[in-house]
Amino acid sequence: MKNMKWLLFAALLLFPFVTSEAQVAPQVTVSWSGAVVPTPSALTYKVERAMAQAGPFTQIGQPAASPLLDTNVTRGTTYFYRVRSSCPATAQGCGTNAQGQVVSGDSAFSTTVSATPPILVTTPGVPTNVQAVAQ
Amino acid sequence: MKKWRWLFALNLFYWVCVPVIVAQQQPRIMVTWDPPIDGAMPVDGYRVYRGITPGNTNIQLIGMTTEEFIVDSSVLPATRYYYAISALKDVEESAKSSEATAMTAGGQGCNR
Repeated sequence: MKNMKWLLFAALLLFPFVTSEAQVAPQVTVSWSGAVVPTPSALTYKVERAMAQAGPFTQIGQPAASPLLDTNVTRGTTYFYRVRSSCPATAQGCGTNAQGQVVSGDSAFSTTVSATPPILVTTPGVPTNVQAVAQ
Repeated sequence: MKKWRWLFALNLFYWVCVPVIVAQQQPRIMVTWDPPIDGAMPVDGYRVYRGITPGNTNIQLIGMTTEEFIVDSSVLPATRYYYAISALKDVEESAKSSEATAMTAGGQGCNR
C-alpha cells in the first residue's frame, strides 16, 4: 500500500510533462458523421490521405468510428483527407435495409478536406530600439 | 613668497584636476532596448555584444541579462563602442539587433 502511494505521487509528477510533450507533437484529427446502416457494428470507415487535392490518395486507416488521429504528419505540410464507409462484401454485409436489400461494399467518398499542422515559432524576435548613452 | 606659489599650485590642482580625474576614472555606457515585437514570447533573456568598429562581424559577446538594459563599466575613456543585442528563447537565439553606438568621455584636460 505504501508503494502504491509513491507510485501515485510519481504519476502526478510526471503527468504535466507527458501532456506537454503530447502538445508539441504535430497531429491531424480527421472526424466525420457516422453512416446509418441496419447493423452498425459491421461498419468501418476507410480514411485516405494525399499530399495534393487531386491525389493520389493512400488509405491510412480503417477505424470503426470517428475520429482518426493522424500523427504521421510534418508541421507546415498540407494534407488532404477523404473518408468513405465500408460494409463487408459478404451475404450479411451491414444488414438488410427496409427494402430487403443487403447493405454491403464501400460508399462513395466524402468531400476532400485539408489540414496543415502549424509551424511552431521557436525563434525569438530581434530586440528593437537599441540605444547606447555614455555616462 | 616662493612657498605661497607652491601652495597656490597645489590648491589649483586639487580644485581643477582632481574632480576631472575622478569623473573620468569610471567611464560607463548605458545600453537600453525594447523587447522583440514578434517571434517566440516571452523571451528568456538577452545577449549583449560589443565592438569598437561598426559592423556586426566585429562584435563580441560581453554578457547576458534578463533585463532590458545594461551598464557597461568595462570601457575605456575616449573610445567609441558599438552594441548589438539578441534575444534568447530556450536554446534559440534571434538575429542581432541594429547597432547602437556611444563614445566615452575623457582623454582631455588634466587626464591627458
